[in-house]
Amino acid sequence: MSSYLDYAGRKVDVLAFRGAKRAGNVQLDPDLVGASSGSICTGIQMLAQDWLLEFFKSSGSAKYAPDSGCDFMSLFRRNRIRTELDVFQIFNLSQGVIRANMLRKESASDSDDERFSSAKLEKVTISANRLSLVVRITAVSGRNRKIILPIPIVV
Amino acid sequence: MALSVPSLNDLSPEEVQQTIDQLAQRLNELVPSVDRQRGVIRELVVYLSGVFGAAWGRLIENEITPYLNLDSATQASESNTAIVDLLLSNFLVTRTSGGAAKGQITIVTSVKAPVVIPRGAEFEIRGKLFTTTTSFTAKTSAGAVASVDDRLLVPTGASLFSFVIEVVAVVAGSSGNIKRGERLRPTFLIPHFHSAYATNDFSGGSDSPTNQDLITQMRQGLTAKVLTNRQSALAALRSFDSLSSIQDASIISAGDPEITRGGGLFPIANGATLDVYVRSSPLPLSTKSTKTFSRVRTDQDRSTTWRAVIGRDEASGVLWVETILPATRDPNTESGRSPSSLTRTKDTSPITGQMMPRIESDWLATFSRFQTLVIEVVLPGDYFNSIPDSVDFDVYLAKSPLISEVQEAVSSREFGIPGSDIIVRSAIPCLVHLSGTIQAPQGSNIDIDAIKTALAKEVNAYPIGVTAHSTRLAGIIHQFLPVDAFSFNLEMTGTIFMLDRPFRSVVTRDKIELQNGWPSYVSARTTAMYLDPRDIELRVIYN
Repeated sequence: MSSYLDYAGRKVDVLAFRGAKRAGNVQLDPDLVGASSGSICTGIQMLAQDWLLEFFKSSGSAKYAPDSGCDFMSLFRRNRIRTELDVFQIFNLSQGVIRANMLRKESASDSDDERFSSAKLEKVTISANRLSLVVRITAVSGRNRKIILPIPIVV
Repeated sequence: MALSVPSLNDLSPEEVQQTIDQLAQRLNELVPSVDRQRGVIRELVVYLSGVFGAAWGRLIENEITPYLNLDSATQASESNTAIVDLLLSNFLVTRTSGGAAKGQITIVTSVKAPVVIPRGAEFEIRGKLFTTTTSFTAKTSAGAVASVDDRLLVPTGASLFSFVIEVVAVVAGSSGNIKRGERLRPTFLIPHFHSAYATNDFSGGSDSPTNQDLITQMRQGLTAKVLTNRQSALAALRSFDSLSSIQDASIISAGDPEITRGGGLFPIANGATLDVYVRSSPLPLSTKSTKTFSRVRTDQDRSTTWRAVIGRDEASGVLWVETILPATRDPNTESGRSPSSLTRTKDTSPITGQMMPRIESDWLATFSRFQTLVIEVVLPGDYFNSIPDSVDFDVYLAKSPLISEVQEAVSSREFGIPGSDIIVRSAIPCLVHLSGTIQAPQGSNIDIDAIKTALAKEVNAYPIGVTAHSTRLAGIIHQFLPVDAFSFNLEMTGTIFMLDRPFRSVVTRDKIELQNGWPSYVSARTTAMYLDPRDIELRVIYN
């Protein structure tokens, strides 16, 4: 279990996606006002959260931040994704934009587990009304990282 | 006035980005541990706050700042009148809606028969309408004239009769100040109508002040309205409702080379001797005064010399005599005569309630309210079948208005400086004649009338002073020209009417400026420039 001491000297963000675990596959659910609201996160969790924000944001949807986001969700809404192969192609296409955006926001003083290295789509499942993606997000620190789980706090 | 909040979709990206950066920086100062560059806080809080912050910044810049800063209010937009009005209301300065021009119209009929001009009757000239505020009835005999609105039909020229009515412009504005003799067209039927024309120059028409005009008014409004120094003197004079239209006033006193009057035993001006020169209108006004002239002599060729005196009340501020015409003649069909002699004398008999200035020579009363005019005119021998002893003449005078009113103000016991010796004169007139050539491509539409109006408006807005640069006037001309047209050969002539001697001209191409050789009282402190649009000659060459 993480404690307040783990957050000493770290940059934090509000926790927006619930479900982080110390190890294993994780399914993150959007949850700004749910059971885990009021929590903060840091490290790889914060990095993954930022990646998700970039991934889910359609490029150009933020009028005064035209460079942020990618085309994945735009193409998804336009029914351009029909097969698993489409998902891989479009995901990889989006990664170049997301990577550039992630790197632009980083600074040299950030911890290695907060700095983006890569995102890899490992599994795609298309069911009747659901598209499931399994994404591996790797920080610059690689596997040599300390897992710090979100903790409840009032910012 | 409602605030206009800018749309969040119309913000400048640079403004938004600057606001986001500022908010992120402030957030970092407040909570250093929160990641300000990325993540939920950045995307949802800082970004949206930046958008709203930029919108508020625009609101403050456009709507709030002008309320705090007069310069911003006037510079932002001349059309932003509501803000300037609110700001200046703090200084008790209010924007007037402009004045409607007033004047007299002479109506000429071909039959000597009663005519009724109803209230609200309209007369038109160049799209401008003038209306009567009361009904007038022209009567055929003096005995029938019973009320102030009755007019006597008088013979005018051959088989014509005329009477004069008062009208006022329907719409306020300086464009209503039409000139004497300009023809008007009634918009209704007048029995036996022959013609209608402006009896005198119309006056009183003024435009609603611009923001810059109001700022100037405010500065004068803040100035103490007392006759203590030159800066406050103009504000003091303008504080009288009847004198609010005065353009400029210049005070000459002891120590100034322009001073014309000495005080006491020695011809040296003391501190209480002031010559005040006033520019009271954009152009001198042409007014008609009907006077009975007495025959002075008849020469062997039966040519007759006639003389009349115009007293100081009517002669106040008169600059020159334009023309003289027997009252029975139609000024639109017969050109008048110039006076054969014009002598100015002084009349310093006491006026109740006013301190009288010391005027030792006649010429010192010139252009003031203390001058009287002795006018002589010569008519040829064949003018009359039998020569009468006296004849009524219409004398057309060019004058500066309000001179007697200003004199009365500064000479009153309540307002004037105790023990002072003040004479008020019209600014010495420098009549400008402008000529030039415009070269324009074939087919260009050059609005010469608009150019002349703009040039006259520019020069006639000058305060007292004699410096007109042809480059400045050329710049005004070019505002009305297409890009490939230009003006050249601009030449200006300034004719200056002096107090004690005939007029004299100065010709120049670059600028009108007084050089040496003028009487000491003719200077940039005493002389004002006037440019009548009719004195502008512009030739257009199409290539």
